[in-house]
Order: sequence, then C-alpha cells, then structure tokens
Amino acid sequence: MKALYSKHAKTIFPWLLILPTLAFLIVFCFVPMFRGFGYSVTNYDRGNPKATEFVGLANFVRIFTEDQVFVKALVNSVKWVGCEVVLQLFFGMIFALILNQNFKGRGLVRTFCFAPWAVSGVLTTMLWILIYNEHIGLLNHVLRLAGFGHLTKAWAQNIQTAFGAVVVAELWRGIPFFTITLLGGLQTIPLELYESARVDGGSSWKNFWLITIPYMKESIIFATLMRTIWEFRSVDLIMTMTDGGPVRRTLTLPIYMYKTSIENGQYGYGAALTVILFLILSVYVVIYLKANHFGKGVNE
Amino acid sequence: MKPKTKKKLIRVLTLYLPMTFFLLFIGIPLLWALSLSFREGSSVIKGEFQFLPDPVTIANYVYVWTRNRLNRYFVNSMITSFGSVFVIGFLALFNGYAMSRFAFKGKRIFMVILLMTQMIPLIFNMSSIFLMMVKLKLANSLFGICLLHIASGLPYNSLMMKSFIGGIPREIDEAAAIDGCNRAQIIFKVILPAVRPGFTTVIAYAFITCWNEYLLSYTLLTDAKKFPVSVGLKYLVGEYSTDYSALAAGCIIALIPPILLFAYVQKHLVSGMNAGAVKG
Amino acid sequence: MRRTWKTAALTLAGVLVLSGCGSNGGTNSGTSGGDSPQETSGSQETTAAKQGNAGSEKEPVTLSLWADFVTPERTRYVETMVADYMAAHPEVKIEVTPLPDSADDKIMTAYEAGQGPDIFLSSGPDITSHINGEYVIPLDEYFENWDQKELILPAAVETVRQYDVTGNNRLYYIPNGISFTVLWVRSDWLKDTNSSVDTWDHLFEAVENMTDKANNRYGIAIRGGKGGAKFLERQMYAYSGILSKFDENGKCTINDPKNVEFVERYLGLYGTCTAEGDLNYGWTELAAAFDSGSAGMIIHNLGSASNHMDAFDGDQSKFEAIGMPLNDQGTSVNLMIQPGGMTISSTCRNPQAAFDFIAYMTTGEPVSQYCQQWGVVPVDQEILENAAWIDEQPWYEASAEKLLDENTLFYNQYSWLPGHDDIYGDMDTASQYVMTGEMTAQEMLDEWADYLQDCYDSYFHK
Repeated sequence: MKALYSKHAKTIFPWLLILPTLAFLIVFCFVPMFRGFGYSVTNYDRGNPKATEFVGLANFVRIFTEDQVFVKALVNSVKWVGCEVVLQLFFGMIFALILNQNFKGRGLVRTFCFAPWAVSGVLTTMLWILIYNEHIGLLNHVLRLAGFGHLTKAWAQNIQTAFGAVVVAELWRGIPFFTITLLGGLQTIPLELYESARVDGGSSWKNFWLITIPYMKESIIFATLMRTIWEFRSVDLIMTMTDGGPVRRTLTLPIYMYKTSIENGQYGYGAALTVILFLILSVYVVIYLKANHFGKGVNE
Repeated sequence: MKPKTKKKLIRVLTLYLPMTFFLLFIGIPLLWALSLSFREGSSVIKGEFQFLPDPVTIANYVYVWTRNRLNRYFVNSMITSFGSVFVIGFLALFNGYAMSRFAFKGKRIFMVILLMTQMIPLIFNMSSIFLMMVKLKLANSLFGICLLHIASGLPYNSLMMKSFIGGIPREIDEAAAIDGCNRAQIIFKVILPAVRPGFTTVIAYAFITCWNEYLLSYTLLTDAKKFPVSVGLKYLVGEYSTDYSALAAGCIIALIPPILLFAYVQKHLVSGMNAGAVKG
Repeated sequence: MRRTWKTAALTLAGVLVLSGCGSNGGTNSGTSGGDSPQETSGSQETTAAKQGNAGSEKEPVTLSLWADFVTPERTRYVETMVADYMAAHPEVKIEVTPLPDSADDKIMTAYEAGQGPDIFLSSGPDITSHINGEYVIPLDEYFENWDQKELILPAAVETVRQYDVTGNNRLYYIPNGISFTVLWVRSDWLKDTNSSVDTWDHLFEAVENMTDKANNRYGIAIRGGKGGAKFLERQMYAYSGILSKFDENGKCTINDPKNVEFVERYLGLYGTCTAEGDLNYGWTELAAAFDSGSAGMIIHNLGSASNHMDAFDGDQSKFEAIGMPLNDQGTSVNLMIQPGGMTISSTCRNPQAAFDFIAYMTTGEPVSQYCQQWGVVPVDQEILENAAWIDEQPWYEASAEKLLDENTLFYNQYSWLPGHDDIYGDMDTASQYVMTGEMTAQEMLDEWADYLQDCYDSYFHK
C-alpha cells in the first residue's frame, strides 16, 4: 500500500486537512499581525493619532543607530531565554524521569506537579511578589527563623538578585510544562529496548544516552522550540514583578516594547521593535528546524 | 553493604531525594496560597506571619464566589473553553495527521507559519484584532472569543498532535486501507482511537490555555456579564490595594477544573501511549 | 467653623490654579467662587423626579457606562446608583461595564475602533489622548445649561479646563472628586524620636532619627520603581518652591539647582535611611513597607487611607496624612488638584441623556458615596460641607486645613503638554541610576528638562 502515503504523490488531501487551520490563522493571526507591522513605518502616537505620518525606515534606523536601550534589552532577552530554556529542560528532564518510575501515589504527585502551569498568571505573580518581599516575604521570614537573618534581601529589587528572582519564579511554572511534555515522550519508548539493554549489561547512564535521549529527541526539540518562542515573548511576570528594573536588569525586549507602545503610546516605534522581534524569532526558527531536521521526513 | 540496602539507598538517592526537592519547590508556593486563602485579608497587609491560618476563615471563598460573582464568570469560562477545545482538538488531529503522514510540498512552510503566530505578544496586536472583530461583527460575543481562542490554540496543539500521531505505527493505517477504509474513515476509526491519549492531552492543554486567557476576553468583551473567570479575578486587585486572601481563594477555585481534567488525563498519559507504542 | 474652611480653602486653591495657568491659551471664564448655594439642599430629589416625569414621554434611550479600577464593592456602588437612576427615569437604560485595573489600554483600543462607551467614569482619565483623538466631546454647553452647576467647586472645573490640549479651554469632563498628594507618616514614631516633618529640613532629620536598621525600621520608603518619578517631581517642586514647570521665558525649571539639590538629598537617603529594595519599589512594595511597620514615611495620596486603616486596625494615633512640608521660603507647594470624573464619547448618540446621568452622579448622595469608595474629596460643595464621613476621617480635615493656610501654593505642572507623561517611565529608571551612583541628579534632571523643553517648544512654536 505505498499509494496511501507516497512521498511523491501529488495529493491535495493533506492540503484539505490543513485548510481550515490556515484560514483561521490568516484571518485571526496574520491579518492583525501584519496590520500591526504597518505602523512600523509611521510615527503613530496613540496620544496624538491625528499627527500620524509616514516616516519610512526612520524607526528602524533609530533602533540600530541611537537606541542603546534596545541593545541592552536584546542582551537581557537572550540571557532570559537561555536561562529559562536550559534550566527548564534540565529540571524538566530529571523530574520526568522521576515521575516515570513506579511509586505509590504517582498519579497524585503528577497532578500536583502539574498545578503551577495551570495556575492563573495573576496568582503566580502575586505569590512570588509575596515570597520575595523584603519586609513581609516568606523567603526572608524563613531565613530569619533558620538563623540566616544576615542573608535576607529584597530579592526582586536587589541589583544582584532581581534577575535570578524572576528566573526562578518563571521556572516554577515552566518546569511543570517541560516535565509533562517530556513525560509524554518517555511513554513512547518501548520497554523491550530497556529489557534487551539490561541483558546486554548496559548501565542506566548508558541507557539514558543510547535509548532514552534518541527516542525523546523529537519531544525535546519540540518542547525546547516552543518554550524558546514563548519565553522570548513573555511579558506579564516580569512586568508585574520588577517592571524591567532595577536599573534595567530585567528589561527584556518585550518589556521594552510594552513600555514604548502601551505605556508611552509610541506605537510606531513600538511596532518597529515588534517587527525586529518577529524577524529574530523567524530566523531562529528556520535555522533551528533545519539544523534538527525537525518534521522533514515522514514518521522516521 | 547488603545488596538490598544498597538498592534502597540508590532508590532514595535517585527517586525520593530529588522528588522531595521537586515537591518542595512546586509545593511551597501552592500550599502558601492555600494558607493565604483561609486567612483574614488584613493580616496579610500587616505583614503578620502565619504558616497556618489563625483564625481559619472561609469568608474569602464565600466572598469571591458570591460578591465577586465568580459563579457567573465560571459559566462564561466554561462556555468559551469547551466551545473552543473540541474544535482545536479535531483541527489539530487533521493537521497532525497531515504533517506526520504526508510529505507534501509546503509542509515545512506550514510549520513555520504555525510557529510564526506564536512570536508576537498578543497585546501588541490587540487594536488590530479588535478592529477586525468589530468589522466581522464578532466583538463582544463569546462566539468571537471562541474563534480567537481556536486560532491561538491551534499552532501549538497541532504540532503536539503531530508528534503523537508520529508515534503510531503506519502499518495500522495501511492495514485499514487494505480493509477498504477511505481516508476519512482512517482518521476517525483508526487514528483517533489509537491517538486517544494524545488527543485527551491536547484537549487538556487547550482547555487550560483557554481557561486562563485574559487579554482577549478583557479587551473584546464590553459586557461585564460575559467576562470569564480570569477577568473576574482581576477585580480583586484594586487601585491601591490587593485583596491577597480573596485573590488566592479565587485562584484556587479557578484551579479546580484544570486540575480535575489533568487528574483524568494523566492516567491516559501512562497506559494509553505505552500500549500504542508496544503494539508496534 | 471648619466646614466653611473647606470650601474657602478649595476656592483659594482654584484662584491659585487660575493664576498659574496663564500660558495655556488664557482663561476665559470667571469663576464665581465662594458663594455656596445653600438653598439647593434637598433639591436633588425634586429635580430627579421632575426629569423623570418629563422623560416618560421621551424616546427610550440606552447608554453604556464603563468604570475603571473597579473592585466588587465599587461595582456594587455603581450598579446601585444606576438602578436608582433607572427607576426614576424609566425611559433610560444604562448598561454598566465595571472594569478591573486601569482601563487605559482597553478604552483606547475601543475608541480607536469607534466602540467606546457612551460614558466613561474614570478615577483619572488619560484625557489629553482622548481629546487629541477626538474620542470625547466638550461638555461646556451642557454644563452651562445645568441648573446645579454652582454646586461644583469652581477650582475643580478650572483644572479640568486646563487639560484641554487644543488650547480652547473647554471642559471635557465633569469632575467628581479630588485626590491629594500626601505624606503618610508614622505619628507614633515621630513622637518617639521627638521629630517633626513641618519643614523639609526637619523631614530629613526625622527620617534619620526614625531609622533604626537593627530593628528593621527605616525612616522612609522611596518609590524607586514604577510611578516613582511622578511623586519625585511633586516633592522637588515642594522643596524648591518653584511654582511653574516653565518660567516666564518658557524655560523648563525642572533642572533648577534647588530641584537638583532636592533630588541629591532625597535619593541620597537610599541605603542609609531606607531598605535596599526601595531601588525598585512600585506601589505594592511601598504600601507593604509602610503597612508592615518597616517604613516611617511614604508619599502617596488619600486614596490609600483604607489600606492603612486596615493595617493599623484603625488606630489613628499611629499614622496620619500630611501635606507637603514648608520649604526655605516658608511655603508649602503642592500639585494642582487632579479630579477624576466622567466623560462623554463622540460616538454617544444621546449626549443630553448622558449628561443628565452624569449630573445625577456628580452631585448629592451618589457623589458622596463615590468619594468614600474611591478615597477622594467630593467637589460637590454641599457634600463637602455637610457629609458626616468627612469628619470621621482626619486626613480630609488635615488636607482642608493645609489648603486654608496662606502659605500653601500650587505649582503648574503643564501635564496637558503633549508627550508630557511619556518621560516618567524613563525617569523612574534614571532615578534608579542616581540611587546606585551611576548617574548624577544633575544629569537626570537635565535629561528630563531637555525632553520637556522639546515638548514645550514644539507645542508653542509649530
């Protein structure tokens, strides 16, 4: 039955399948998105819409020649995404391996571990604000009780710790996402492979690299890719916890865009930043997909 | 050292120790939220410290459910979430099937297109989306919100579905084709049952995203009677003061549906997928 | 006695406002200050009833009303008022949409799409953007024909007129309440340390005296994060005694040596008399510092009174609100009063009906309850004089007394200047750099002044 999924068949069937989705995405995602991009060649100011003029590429020129905050924000964004994705993958992997083992109350533990991801964003930020607070925070209180009073800090405001503080808060809801996704990947590994490896006398460590990782490659690549995009564009947590401060230590590109467009009403300039964010991520995605041969073949 | 003790030690080191660490990290903020939700609101502002609420009160729960009308918002959230997830589920099934089984021209581009929709924070496109929804006469309608939820939920869930379907051996489709099934039948009668755990997972993921979605609903709905839970919770964050305990209580109520759903889904996550893989 | 003070004081405030705003297109309307219309008391109901009778023959009218920063209690207030109004006016149907949080972004998005509400009740609308976009209509005509317009404090009306960025001095919303910038201080700490905050020099001393780092007590909490620059500006003008952001030659005064001196002194307190977190405090953290008893002083407005009441179990011997301390010239300089209020959008099909509702909400019992809920001082002079709740909350009295003092002055902020507010975010960050020593106060204020000068020049010499 080669005809069913032949690689060379000029079938329109897959197109029929994806057509409704394409329609949805074009109408509800791309039309608004590109309309938004259109502002990038204007000086559209929300506070003064009547004065809008076409300015060509002036906004882009300004971003690359004058705007020092942009560079800083970009560097912070890369740092932010790097920390988040690497740490979430690392811990997510460990916990997925743990939760894949047999132990009593596994279902309960799994459900519990998944909760942070399902918690509403407003609670997540509120909780971590209350945890990190210098005066009424949980963390400082516990430190004092434990006799480490000298270590207390304004965790989310201190220049040294602010970035780490928001990273940890984001990890809290990000690790469960990775854990669950990777757990799904782990389930696809046929148990016989481990059985035969045991017969051959392979160590657990070896099994991990020779069986687990190759089998989970697709899950890992996929989860990492999605997470990179989502972390790159994330706004709410940093916005509420630190507002990009102190002294721009936590100012990522989307936070900078938010301050420019939404708070100051400079939509034109903000849209130019949006276009740049979009291009950066698009290039990243294309390279990433190519490098990993993700989705190239059919069901390898 | 006896082999049995050694084995036990290894199990403690590789399982229980890291798991305890994990549970503490995940659990402390959650339990603290639970504790907050049973406290008296003013005790939080004062900076009083209570590991366990003293006195214990359920007033916060009553308050958010009735005075803050979470009961009403709950219904709205249910409508938009359930209205969206099944469409997302089936369209994701189609996309996943197309992407994992066919090597059609433009597949790579389709995947990039899916990913591109995820790149811009929604807030920067809100004016354009609003304007378009007004033109389509879909602003201020739960139906319009559903459509937007579907559009924003499709990309991720389609790609996830692709990897789920990719895990099903192709032989079973081919066998079905030999038995005379047409393509539609293969999707619904062969793929869908085989990918059911994956399908349930997609539904659960989509449900959570829809359930917690705030910005679209807040901006597009102009009738407060249509607001979902996520917007309703924001009423507890005041101009100059946040009602921390009530907010914690509200968020815990809001957490119940996703948690129940996940408790159900995680069972499938184990048995179903492994069964499918072993079959091949 | 004190009751008449209040009105007199606020009238005085109005006069000062008028004298300060000469450069904004000139003032056209003379205010009939002071003559409080006593005979109108109790006329509210009859007016409402009259309108109700007349309205029964009218076409049915539907109005949409949005309100921002709404909590469950505020929602209940708005809905109750609307229900009462609809009961008296059966031909009018009002659909209320209470909005949590600042609705700035939502309402702009809606206005841009022509889908804004007929009436917007805001605790401080972003009015210049709304006027620039022609999203709201001037209400002068309706206001002039309103039989109870004398009830509204003239000073508040004049302040609103100044927000007309087109330079025509028109009235775009009807003010309902005034918010005051105040210092919330721990009275008990001041007493314990034998300090006072009547002048700026004493204030700086008091901050040092109250600081007791060993016991986690800090003399002051500085708002270094979001919203900090706004308050820093108010404080530096209070300190320097300068009364306008632009001098008679149109030069920006924000980098005046006196202002620089203040910023150096004030931000210099960071680390020595403050906790380390102040570097990036927003309002949430600032409130937590004060309410948990870690900071002796914060700057905010009257709106947070109920917070502090809760936090200190209503013990008013522990905290109080005071206006700006006296500067070298012996004056207390404050920011012009900033009223909240209700606007009518340009898409409203029944502006007269909308205005009637606004009139109802801006006077009498509705506005009295509004002001309690929102923590603002009513601009209905009758309520201001007679409402019992004002007497129960000393900070309103204190504010009134402060206003009565002949040494109390107001500085002209030029907040209507296009682009004026867009620099605050950058200045929040700049103040952080000053606190960490990576920038000097002079550099920060020079940057601020340059920016505002550009705004000013491009507005007046275009």
